[in-house]
Amino acid sequence: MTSSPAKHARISSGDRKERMTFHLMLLPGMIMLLIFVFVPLVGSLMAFQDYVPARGLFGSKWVGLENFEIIFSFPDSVQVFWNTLIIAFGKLVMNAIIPVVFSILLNELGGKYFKRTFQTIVYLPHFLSWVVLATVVTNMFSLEGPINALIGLFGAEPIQFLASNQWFRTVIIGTDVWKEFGYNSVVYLAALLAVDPGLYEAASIDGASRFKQILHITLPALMPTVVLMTALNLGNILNAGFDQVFNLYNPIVYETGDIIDTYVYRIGMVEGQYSIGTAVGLFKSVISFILILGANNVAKKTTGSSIF
Amino acid sequence: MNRKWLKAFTLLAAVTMGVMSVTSCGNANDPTAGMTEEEKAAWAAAASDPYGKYPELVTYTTGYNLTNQGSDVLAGTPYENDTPENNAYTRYLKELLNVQNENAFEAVSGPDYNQKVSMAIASGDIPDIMHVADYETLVDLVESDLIADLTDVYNNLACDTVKAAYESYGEENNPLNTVTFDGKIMAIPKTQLSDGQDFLWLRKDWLDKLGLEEPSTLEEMEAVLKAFIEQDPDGNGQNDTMGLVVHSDVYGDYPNNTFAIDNVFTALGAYPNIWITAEDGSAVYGSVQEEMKQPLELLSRWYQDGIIDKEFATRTNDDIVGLISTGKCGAFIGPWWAPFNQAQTSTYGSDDAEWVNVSAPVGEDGKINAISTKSYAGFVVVRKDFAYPELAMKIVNVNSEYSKQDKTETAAEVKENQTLAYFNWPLYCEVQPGNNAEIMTQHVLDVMDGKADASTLTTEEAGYYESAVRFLEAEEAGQKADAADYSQYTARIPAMTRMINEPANFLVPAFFETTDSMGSRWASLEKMEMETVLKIITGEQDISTFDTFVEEWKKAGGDTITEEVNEVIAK
Repeated sequence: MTSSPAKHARISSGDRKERMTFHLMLLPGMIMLLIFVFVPLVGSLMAFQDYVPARGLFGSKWVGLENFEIIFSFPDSVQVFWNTLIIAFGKLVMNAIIPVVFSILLNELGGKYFKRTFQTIVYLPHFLSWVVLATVVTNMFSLEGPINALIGLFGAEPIQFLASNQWFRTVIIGTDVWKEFGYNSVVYLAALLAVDPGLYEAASIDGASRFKQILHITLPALMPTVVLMTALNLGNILNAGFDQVFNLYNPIVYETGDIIDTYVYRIGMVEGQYSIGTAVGLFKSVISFILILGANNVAKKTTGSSIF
Repeated sequence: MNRKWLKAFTLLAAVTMGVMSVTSCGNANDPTAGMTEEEKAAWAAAASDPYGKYPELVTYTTGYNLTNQGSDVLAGTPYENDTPENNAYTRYLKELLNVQNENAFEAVSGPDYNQKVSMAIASGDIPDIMHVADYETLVDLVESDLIADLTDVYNNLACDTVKAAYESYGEENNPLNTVTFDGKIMAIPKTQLSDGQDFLWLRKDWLDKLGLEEPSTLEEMEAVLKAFIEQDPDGNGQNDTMGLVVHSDVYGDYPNNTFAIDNVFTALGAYPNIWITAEDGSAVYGSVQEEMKQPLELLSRWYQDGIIDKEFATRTNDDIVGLISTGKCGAFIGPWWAPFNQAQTSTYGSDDAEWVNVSAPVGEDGKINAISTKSYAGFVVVRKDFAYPELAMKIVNVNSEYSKQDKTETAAEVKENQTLAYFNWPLYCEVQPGNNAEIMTQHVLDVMDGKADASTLTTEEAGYYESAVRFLEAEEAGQKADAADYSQYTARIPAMTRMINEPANFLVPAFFETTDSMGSRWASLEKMEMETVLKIITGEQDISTFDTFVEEWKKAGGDTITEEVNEVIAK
């Protein structure tokens, strides 16, 4: 922008001072972003090197795409890729549906205090880390745990959920939704507050039932938010949740539960193959970036709202 | 900076560097230049005596290993102003040998120190004498021709303690084998104490209650575990006890993985997770051998019958400790130091549990088949062309032998610093016999039996002795001893006595290290292996999948790695 004196004149010195304060408040965040997001980007170069920590980023040998070739030659790389997609997709879908349903149901309830209390309670698990929750989940789903006790009431054989390839993904997706739906519904509850109560009034005067009102007023009002949130989350489609899976899996369920991140952890960190670990990470980021751009375009076209 | 200044500065820098390199070359090439015959003889005498004192101060550059305890442990002691170049150890060495270290770098031993070593090697400028922690680095140094041949130094100057210590590991596992390249000894290896064999740890009070004998074979072990499950050993009238707990990794890192059940495999002649020597003399990977099938089938049956924990695959270490400390389980496999595990200390406190280490399951000859651990834990190397290569050996001699026998006032500081611990000995290389833990127990036992006097004990041994006395006194008075004393006593005295009296067969792995392809392929192969092993044990797949796994393992890089391993061994 060229600085025209007219524009300058419009900002009084008091205004500028005030803006300065806001900019200063932004500064710590920007510095964090710089240090923890932009600077580490340089490290992506490792993906094209035979990286040796002692030689450093600029002393290590360049190997072109060799690391990527190695990754795709692993017998299990396809399996790991699919596991990631399936788990992440399951989470994406369920994390959209459940919070929406929940917030609509909660919205229909009367009683401000009840609503608030309930919202807070379901919100709580979000703040616990998977390291802690994994112990809870393991105990819940163990042979002597409450879930198996419940199944036992119906006379069924106990199931080792966390050591069963039929159940593992379901448990992962289910527990993730349980942990996050309270938090995820906050956005939707906020969107619902913005709906003009006049619409409901008019609809009920016209004789629409509660259900019809949900279908024709509440849901359409939520749709842009749903699409936007899903578009945002699509960038995470290759993030199936490292800390959750890592704390719950075991070699028996590698077949259905080993995801890119846990795989990279074992190769990159445990075996010290930094270059290969970085190559997988870079590959993931590129795919995520393409997906976000795509989803953003779709969102723009269908609902008119987009992130950028 | 203007140009004139820049020019002057560059010139100055160049001159300084030139002068420095001239002086350092002069020193390194001929230390005896310009000396009289007498002086030369004095230097030669110093160089050929294991503890010879140099006529004049010899300064050597080195990398200094610090302990991770932090310098503040020295605060308030007379040593708080000590530095890595001037502390009890360096003063002692100066007094004794007239040598002084000058540190090229200082770091806490472990990754920090190793990184400094790597950097020194990458720059091609290594200190005169230094400790390197891993084998790959040593190979790197040998191949890049940066270090001196120490064969003569070792043969002429190593003290008896050091020589005997190396020999105590047996011919096959002698640490010197690792540092010998083309028949030349290229480094002085630091020794790693032998960890001994794994035992079957059982609740003695349960055995007694059910009137059972200590098991020995696999069948007897199975019978005891079955009784532990079915006959209500804790006497609470409920069917709530289980058989054997199993580490979720099943095997590996012998014997350091408490709860891992390698012994069940080795009893049947299988050696998973290590490189073993095949009949034709080549190295092969133990986990993909035919011998694996029998133990896997046995474990699969045990799993079906509930002899081993049904949920072992999803248990964390804490879960297992929980099962044992709550008295649900009275059997696990672990090393002689298992009494330090919380699983045991908590049952001692709460449950009146009595634990005993039993040699089971045994192999065909009635002994436990165990796996030897690495015999080395680092190496001391000397820069090529360093004028006093023998100095490295002398410091190791002092560290391993002389200082321990030195009861004079000079050594007092060193003894005190060993318990304070922030500075390590320069070079960080103590050479001890592999069975040092057994030897120490033997000394303590001699004192307890009245065969020797308590003053003969080293400070370390005296600590164990005092623990044992405190434990026995408390027990005699009908009280609970301190948990720490319980652990120290049970591990060092009864458990160790069994280790001495019931020796095991030790298999020395053909190869301990890693190769180039291992780095990128191993995670994938290991995944394949663990998946197969766990699925066979839990009965999700039957034993025939083992053959498929072996095929796939070989194709996915296993064969390449096996070739590489054999190449490295052949070197």
